[in-house]
Amino acid sequence: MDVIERLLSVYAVTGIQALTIGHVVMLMVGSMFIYLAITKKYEPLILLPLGFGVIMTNLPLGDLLGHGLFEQLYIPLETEVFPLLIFVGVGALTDFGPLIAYPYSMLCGAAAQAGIFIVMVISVALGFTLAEGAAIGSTGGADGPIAVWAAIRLAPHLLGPIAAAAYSYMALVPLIQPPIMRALTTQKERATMMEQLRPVSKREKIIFPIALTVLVGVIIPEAIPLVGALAVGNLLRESGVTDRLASTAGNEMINIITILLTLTVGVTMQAETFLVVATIQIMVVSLLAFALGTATGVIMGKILYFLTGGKVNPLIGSAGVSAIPMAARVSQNEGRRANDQSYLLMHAMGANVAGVIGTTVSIGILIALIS
Amino acid sequence: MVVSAIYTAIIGFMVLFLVMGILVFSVKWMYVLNLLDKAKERDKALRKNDTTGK
Repeated sequence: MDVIERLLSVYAVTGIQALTIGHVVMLMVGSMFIYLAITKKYEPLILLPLGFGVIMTNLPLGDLLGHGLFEQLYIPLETEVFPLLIFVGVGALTDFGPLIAYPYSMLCGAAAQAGIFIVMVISVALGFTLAEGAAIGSTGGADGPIAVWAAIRLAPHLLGPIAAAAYSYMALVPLIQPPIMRALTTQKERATMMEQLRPVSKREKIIFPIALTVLVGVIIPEAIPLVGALAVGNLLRESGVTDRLASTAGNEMINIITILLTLTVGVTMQAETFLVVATIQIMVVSLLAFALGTATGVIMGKILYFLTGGKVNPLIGSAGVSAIPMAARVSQNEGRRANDQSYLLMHAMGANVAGVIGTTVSIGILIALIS
Repeated sequence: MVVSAIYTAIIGFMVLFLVMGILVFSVKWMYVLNLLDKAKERDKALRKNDTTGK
């Protein structure tokens, strides 16, 4: 009798008795992320730790966020430290040269943000608040750190689903964008060859991040943290006197923060809060936001094509979303499919970094307008 | 609520284009600086090679 009682008391403290269908579903979601990362190579640096975080947090009675490491790691997440440090690293890895050489690609980076604003309205129509809608719309840029930053600022309780949507669609850029790009352009437009970009001086590259921060910061103070983080990382790279810092920001720091951020975001994706109707709505409208952003970027590319008398390939417009550098690679690949002599990568990179700036500015504007 | 969201979206998108437009012109202005730099360098090189003794 005593043995049975002891066995029952052991059973009572195991997670088995607390296991629910929701936990099982989330364990499958986490496993699917890891499968996509390892087998399909879809954004493995993001999806693998994210998936493992989901598995860990959905083991019953673990209460990872309630104490210990993840309780501490949640603090730099909710105080925006992690996404901003990642942006310093992104800045250190980004070359603004193509954007400086052809500044009109900035317009593609602006047009491709339309998805954010349209989906914000759709989300409000679905019953979300304006702040929640803006956070959901931020996934239209298909940029994980920006979406996480927007979610923390505008709707922290939706961080899990928004991060899952942003990182998933970031990984699926090569599958989502090409059909939209082909549907909106003709073979002749896709085959357009673009002139080689002019060389950009070191002075221009140094002035750009400073001017960017000052100009954006003066007009939209809410965007200063994110734009400033991006710009300081880039200045470390371009100044030529802080190579060690640029190397650390673009390698060790961004890698460490990526592990901590994605693991912690994964840990926030608990069955009780993730498996709700709102999550499905967010996943669907986020896909719409990204598709609309791609489409409006291509339409801006077509406008530039007509205004320049056929000198701009409209395919670079789709890179105006901020999934860097994947969206630029997709533009290059689609251009090569239409014309194997075409080389669009540098032009598309210009639109792509403009997209990063555009998404950052958009979220800054929305935070300012809503708050 | 939806009407308010539509206004926010329209104003937000217009401000975004304004900011990006300002950035386009700023970068264009930087290019002028670059051209002036190049002109100065060319002038310097010409003066160095000047053998007229002036």
